[in-house]
Amino acid sequence: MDSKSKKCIFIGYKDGLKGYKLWNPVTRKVVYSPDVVFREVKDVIKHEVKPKEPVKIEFELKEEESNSVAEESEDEEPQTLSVRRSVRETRQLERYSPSAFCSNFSLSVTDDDPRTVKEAVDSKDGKLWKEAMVDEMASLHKNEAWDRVELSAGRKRSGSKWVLKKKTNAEGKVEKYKARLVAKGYSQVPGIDFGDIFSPVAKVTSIRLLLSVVATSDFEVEQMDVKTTFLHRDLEEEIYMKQPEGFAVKGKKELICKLKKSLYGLKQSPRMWYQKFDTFIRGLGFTRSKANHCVYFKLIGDHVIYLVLYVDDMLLVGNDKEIIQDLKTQLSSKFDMKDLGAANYILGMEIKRDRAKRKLWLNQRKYVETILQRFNMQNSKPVKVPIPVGVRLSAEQCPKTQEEEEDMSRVPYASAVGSLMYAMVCTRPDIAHAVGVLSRFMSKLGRSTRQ
Amino acid sequence: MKQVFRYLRGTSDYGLCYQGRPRLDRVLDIHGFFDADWVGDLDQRRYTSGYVFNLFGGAVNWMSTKQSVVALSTTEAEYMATTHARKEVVWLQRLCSNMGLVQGAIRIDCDSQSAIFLAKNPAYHSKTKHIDVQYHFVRDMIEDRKVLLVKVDTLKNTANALTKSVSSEKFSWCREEMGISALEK
Repeated sequence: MDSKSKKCIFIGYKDGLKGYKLWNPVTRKVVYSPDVVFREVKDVIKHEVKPKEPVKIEFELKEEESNSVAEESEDEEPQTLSVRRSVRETRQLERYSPSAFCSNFSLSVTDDDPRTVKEAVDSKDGKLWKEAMVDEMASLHKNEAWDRVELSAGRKRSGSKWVLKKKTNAEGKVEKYKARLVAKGYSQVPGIDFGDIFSPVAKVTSIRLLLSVVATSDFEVEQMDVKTTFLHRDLEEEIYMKQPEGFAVKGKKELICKLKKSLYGLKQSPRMWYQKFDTFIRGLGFTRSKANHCVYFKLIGDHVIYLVLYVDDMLLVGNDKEIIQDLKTQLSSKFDMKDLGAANYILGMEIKRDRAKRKLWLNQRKYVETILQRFNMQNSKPVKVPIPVGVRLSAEQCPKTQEEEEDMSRVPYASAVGSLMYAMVCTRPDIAHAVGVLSRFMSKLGRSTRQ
Repeated sequence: MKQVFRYLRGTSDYGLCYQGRPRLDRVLDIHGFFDADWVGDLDQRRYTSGYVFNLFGGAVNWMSTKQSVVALSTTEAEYMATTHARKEVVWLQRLCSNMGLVQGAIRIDCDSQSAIFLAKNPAYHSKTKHIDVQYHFVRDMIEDRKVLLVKVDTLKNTANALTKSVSSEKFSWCREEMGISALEK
């Protein structure tokens, strides 16, 4: 290499320019240049990556599994590519922060959920998070999710990750700290690691239709939830996974887990769970609806019972309490279920009933308040209509210069429209037109659209 | 967009409400409305269609979309919009019958007299000969008596709010018709 040349990373091309778009990691700037000598990717990255210090996390386990679960672990991140990605992320966040539209916008689901194990354990709820993780591990061991084996040559192993989430109820209070071990399914190779992966879910329309019948015919609605849903099915393919962070066997860190059950995060998990449930419920004499494969029903004399499945949540609807109770017992004997009693919160929709008046309300108050807060609109002035008469948006108002474009790119428009869309699909037909109009400008947003 | 958020801010506790009593056990009475806005989209001149199906005082199914073809007249836009509502009818009827519920012909209200005539009368017409085969699907369904098309006054069409921006009085009327109300304490 010449003495004057600089090491950059190739990131793409630019319209109207002869040359390459490059990122200079030293000056942290994007440069354009036609004068480039390419070198191997690995070679370039090596120069700038300093391996991270391994993170030590200690878990004290009182379960009987404690002898198989060790106290030390290693942060699994210092892979060259992921470090490069993290650099890019922080840049984005800096760019988003001055946005007037939403200053506290964050990419995570809820703002205060920890993203890594280290973050969780260091936080003030560290003890609760640890308990949640131990709980999850115990459940995995109980279900014999994997064997620990040595990696045979030629097989890829996928990583694993802890997903930590605070579960809240309809009022927004924290109900439970939940830790879930997921496999990094994105590294799975089609044909080798998985075959078909599609699986049906219930349409919201079917749920609404059923609930309107519930309201007027005064039916019972009960809700159940399957614990560790995907663990119920044996895997057909051979899949290997790294040992989970924080729970590697002492002195045997090179061992990997050969999965026996489908784990969260694997591509085929939802499909395998659905197949298993479908076979079971049809064995009980239920008929599957042809219009929506997640709706089942059964007639027993004068009584009718419906079951709507939404991945791991299910609604049981019927006009006889005993029949529902029977079904619950049957389900619990087969799967690890949690009985949630009378349904009051499904898919982010709150269900309220006035049985004397045969009325049923379905609303998303909590969800709407969350998105208002996320996009910093919780103190805005309310208006009467979502789109005023005479407002017409067109491509004319789209940004034309580069400055305008950059200005607009600071607004997380797509995710705001997405949030509105979910409210619209579930319970708010009144904003359907407004959301439809807004979503037409996803790729070419103008200032007036934002208003 | 800010306007939509501001609207939601004022109506965050609004939701769907279902009420009433069925005339007979397991007999449903779904009632649909649809509407089309001829050139709602300024850039591509395409029409926007919307429909809503009500059951027991609340909306169970709705849609509002910009369509993928250009309509040459309002009649044509409305006529083609019926097709989309109609496809939904087929699905809804199948869903109901699969669930052991009884749903007869679904009544759909439409504010365009000419679209209704076009759907009911299978005559060949020079002004309509370019309308594609799929849109004539509605005629079959009317002959099979799966659907009843009924003329309704524009002022009483609930689906209006799904295709165009309407005044606040009209909007709150439509909203009420769709069964959206604040939670009763």
